[in-house]
Amino acid sequence: MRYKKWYLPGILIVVAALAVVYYRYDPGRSVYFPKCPFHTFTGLDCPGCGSQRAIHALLHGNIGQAADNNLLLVMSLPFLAVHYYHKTVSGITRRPYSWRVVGHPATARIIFVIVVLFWILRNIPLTPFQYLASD
Amino acid sequence: MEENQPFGQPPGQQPPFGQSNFNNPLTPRPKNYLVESILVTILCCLPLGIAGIVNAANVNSRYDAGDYAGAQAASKDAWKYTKLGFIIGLVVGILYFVVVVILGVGGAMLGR
Repeated sequence: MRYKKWYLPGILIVVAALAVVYYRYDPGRSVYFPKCPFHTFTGLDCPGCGSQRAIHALLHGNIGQAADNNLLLVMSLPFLAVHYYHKTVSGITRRPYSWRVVGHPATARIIFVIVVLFWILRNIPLTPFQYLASD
Repeated sequence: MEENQPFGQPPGQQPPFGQSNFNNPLTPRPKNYLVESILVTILCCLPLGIAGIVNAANVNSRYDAGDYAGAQAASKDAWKYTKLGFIIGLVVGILYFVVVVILGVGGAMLGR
């Protein structure tokens, strides 16, 4: 798929605008941020619960607080960083994307297992797992 | 998986951006949208994100098994689910914001 000309600048502008919003306002205290429907109806955490608060904490340099809100998001950051590094390099040099890990059959399966495990474990109300919950 | 021996890439035939051909120079490995699926899972729409991750796994395993058409189909499905996830997340987020603003303005007009 070829990237259209507006695609990359558009995404960068939206991400920058969202970063300003999430830096200035705390999604845990403001009513203007959408709440997770799964959490609202079941009272349980989904794998994405706490990610808005985690992004707010990350933008303030508070990695510990972010990990407390959503460990999955913090753990995925190195993976995302390497992916987007390779993507940027491939875009600049016009050579094919070269990070083989993304194309390996095991990678997606491992990530699937991690997501499902995280979803189950963070809802167990016992001491070691409580730290995985979003609050 | 050595059934697709690379027999030298023809000069001047780079695969499109975002795709790579690890073991078949003629059929490039379809984009699996794994990273996009992860983002959808973490940031908004869990079921669609997980469907995307499952399809990402299918893209890779089918490609390595030599099922290039199946890999293409899984790639299309993965893109469908991640795109749907992004759109639903965006629409729900904006609707939520609008509803809260309307409720806030309405509450203020009722003198609360």
